[in-house]
Amino acid sequence: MRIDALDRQDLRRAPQRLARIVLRDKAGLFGLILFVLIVFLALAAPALSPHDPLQQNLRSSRQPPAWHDSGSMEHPLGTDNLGRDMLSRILVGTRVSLTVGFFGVLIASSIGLVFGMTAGYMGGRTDSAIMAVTNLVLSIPYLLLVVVVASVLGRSLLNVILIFGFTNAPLFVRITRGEVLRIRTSGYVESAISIGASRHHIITRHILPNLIGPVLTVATFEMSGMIFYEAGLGFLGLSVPPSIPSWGNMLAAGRQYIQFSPWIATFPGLAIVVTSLSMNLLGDWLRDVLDPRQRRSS
Amino acid sequence: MIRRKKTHGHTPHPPRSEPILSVKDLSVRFNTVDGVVHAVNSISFDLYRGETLGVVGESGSGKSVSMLSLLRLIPEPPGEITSGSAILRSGDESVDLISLSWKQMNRVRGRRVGFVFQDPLSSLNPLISVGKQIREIIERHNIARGPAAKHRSVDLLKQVGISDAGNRYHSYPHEFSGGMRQRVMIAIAIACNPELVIADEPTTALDVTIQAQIIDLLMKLKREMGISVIWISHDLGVVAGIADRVMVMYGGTGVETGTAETVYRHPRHPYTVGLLGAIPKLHQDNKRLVNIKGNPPSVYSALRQCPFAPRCPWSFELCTQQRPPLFALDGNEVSDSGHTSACWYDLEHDTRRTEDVV
Amino acid sequence: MQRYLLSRVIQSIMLMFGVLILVFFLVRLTGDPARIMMPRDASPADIEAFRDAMGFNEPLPAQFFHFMTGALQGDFGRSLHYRAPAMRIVLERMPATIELSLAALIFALIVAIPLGVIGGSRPGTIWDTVCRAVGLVGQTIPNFWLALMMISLFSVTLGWFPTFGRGGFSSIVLPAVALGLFPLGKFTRLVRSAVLEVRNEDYVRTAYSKGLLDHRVYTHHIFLNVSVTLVSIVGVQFGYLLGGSIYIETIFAWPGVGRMINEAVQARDFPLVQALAFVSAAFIVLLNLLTDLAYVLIDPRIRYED
Repeated sequence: MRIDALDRQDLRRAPQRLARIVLRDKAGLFGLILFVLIVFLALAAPALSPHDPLQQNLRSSRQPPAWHDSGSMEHPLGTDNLGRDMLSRILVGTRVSLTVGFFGVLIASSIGLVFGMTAGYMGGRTDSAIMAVTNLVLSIPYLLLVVVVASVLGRSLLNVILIFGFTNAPLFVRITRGEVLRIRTSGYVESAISIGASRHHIITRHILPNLIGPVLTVATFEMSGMIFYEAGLGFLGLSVPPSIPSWGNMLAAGRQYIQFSPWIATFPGLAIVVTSLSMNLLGDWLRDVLDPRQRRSS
Repeated sequence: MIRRKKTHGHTPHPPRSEPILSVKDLSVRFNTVDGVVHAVNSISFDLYRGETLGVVGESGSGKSVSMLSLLRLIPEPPGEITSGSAILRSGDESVDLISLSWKQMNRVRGRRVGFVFQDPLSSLNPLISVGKQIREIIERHNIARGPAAKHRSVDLLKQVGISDAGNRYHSYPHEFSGGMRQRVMIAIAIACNPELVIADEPTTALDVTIQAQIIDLLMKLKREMGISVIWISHDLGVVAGIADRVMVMYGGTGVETGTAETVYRHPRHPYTVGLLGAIPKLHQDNKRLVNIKGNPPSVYSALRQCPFAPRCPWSFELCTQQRPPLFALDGNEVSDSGHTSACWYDLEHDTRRTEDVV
Repeated sequence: MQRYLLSRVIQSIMLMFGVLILVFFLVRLTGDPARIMMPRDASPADIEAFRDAMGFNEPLPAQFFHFMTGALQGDFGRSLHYRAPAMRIVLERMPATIELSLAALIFALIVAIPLGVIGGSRPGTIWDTVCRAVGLVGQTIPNFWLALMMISLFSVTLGWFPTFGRGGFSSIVLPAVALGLFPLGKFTRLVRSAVLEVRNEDYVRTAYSKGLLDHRVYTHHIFLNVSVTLVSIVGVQFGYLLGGSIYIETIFAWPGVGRMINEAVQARDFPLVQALAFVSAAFIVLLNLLTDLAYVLIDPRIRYED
């Protein structure tokens, strides 16, 4: 039901409202703190790791975590099948995940912005061609596409980043195009065009600022998704080479020993869950703050 | 009483029998994230059998919220009825709508009180055929069941003037024009022979030509079925043509009430004066439209003063210190109607009232 | 309506052509398909012989022509590993995957619909919080990890369910739950927010104004309209289920397409991979068509447009 007076008040109180949303959403704040912590752990991983994550020691292989009867504080989270320290490997594994997520999203959103804006702004055949390719890629089950391309290209960090960057781009193309179309046909941009604003002015002053919110929100969710998928590829033995400690590679090893040494699979999975949780909370929060149209009612 | 040529079922004399609906001190607020919105501030009014009460005011004056809250049709939360009573009388039986349980309320809605809403397109479920949407209310209140219910639904469609009703029963709302959709809404509203129909701006979303048809239809049904009507509108012209009595709302409360005749000819509240001044009249060339200066009141604070005081040319200290009560204007030349006005300034005698008169 | 459906069918056929082109080029991404299909330690002579046998020496347009004419007749060549027509092997594996996907979907819907409706109809309550939590859990727990954890707990420790294989109801429980968790979260979020939105629609107020009881308003007015949104996403989620089945079928040794994709990729059996990609995409496209059809059946507004 409409209360007109409310809308007017809404505008007048916008800054306070923003501050209130930021503070009210404790989950979002928690996500942000968690995310900052994870980034810190990734940067400081070598200093924080108690052991060399690559050092094998078959004599102390598959040691359970410290709280088990046969565990020890020497390896707080136990060791894997080759006697490598789990805690150190998880800390260093953060780097692979965040690198893939960050650069993957960077590439995907850059491609998406360029092609999405071109499609949305030019319209006509250019638009049709770009959207045809976009829809084609989106129609194939995503994981299948990633798995096939990864197996064709071979295992390397760069390949993984490129795969996620390119296969994720269509999503950003679609969102960017949709936003550009919406903004272009909005009253204020049409009136800007009608008084002779240049294309450059329209793009930099009206379209780009409006794109930041939705793209940043999607980027956060997609970064979480890429960390997920990287681990999945690693699990299938298709991500970074086995010599690099990554959560996916650790899970792949853990699967072999799930029956007797479940911790080898448990901890890297938990690391994924926590990272993904932080980004999803952050994403929800960003959507609330940056994209008022999608703000949840509460 | 002076009779106008174009009238829609005006009752010859203001009914002085017992009102079928008595609302006393009803207050509604919305608890939003931005604070409490005092949408309705202790409104009181009576509705008599067979009459049409026109409720007029700007958007945000609380006219829809106050009427919808009578039947708990506002979203709760954030909405909350904080005080008041609303006695619905039928014969010797009377119930207080405000204190009814949800279950009891469900037996009143649709059965004893029907509704016609503003936008018939959004007010009808797009995925359900119009026939089923009528039939649903008939079966809910056990008026009829099965084939009989369907038969009655088709009859209702005929009654509201939809041709080929038997086939149109199966149509969906989007296949109807705006006017026809509103006819369907009216069929739903009258399906269970209610005592009261609340029409919330029923013609606002319609073309001007269709408006008149819908007004005629509702007024005809009202006369035939002896229904009382609360007609909410911001259109003073529409209300002038159909209402027996008018309540002018401002800042979530009724500021002036009286027969349509009295209120329009002898407005006694500065806001009403302003409103009437803002209507363009034919044959009055070169006369500037008077507009009301300022903005509608902030509803974030509870009413402790006259809500209109900041915009009122007649306001004085008392207006901002104390909320004016409803003054009965009986005892003057337009006293036939129970004319009341919530104003500290006596416009008729051009004098200030004092607290003592309360 | 007919024109709408016809245009969707034509779009789908065009899309399948696009998929074929994509599948053709995917294995040629590196420029040397023979190299990626042969074992790493294969001798140059072996690779050359293989290249010749597979026709990779022909000019690209000729290869494309051969591939397309074959593919249009359902012939994607012979599986290098199984030494049998790739298409036939893939189709044999489809029923197991459809069974698992359906089980996962049903699990997700059975939990998500009531939960989402309860949460959406009582915003701010504990149910609402549960809804949001389930939505978050679905998005943050990787299904392959969940599968491993469930095997560790329910199969190894408690011995309630078999660790792998297909046969009988108990064998499908764990894989279906693991695969269904993600759509479960998605559906819960979606149903909750749709209920929240529909609840405030004018026609729901009309329904209440008629004196209808809450359960009738929910089943006949709110849920009917929520289901339109739900139908549109169920089809999309099937695409995810096919992808997710790569992990789940591998972990539970479920004899379906997902596990075969992993095996084919590991064995570098690319004719089989091509057939698998095509069939999966075709399946998704077909499902999307069915979704559109369901849409038309539920929503009279689309039926009416032409």
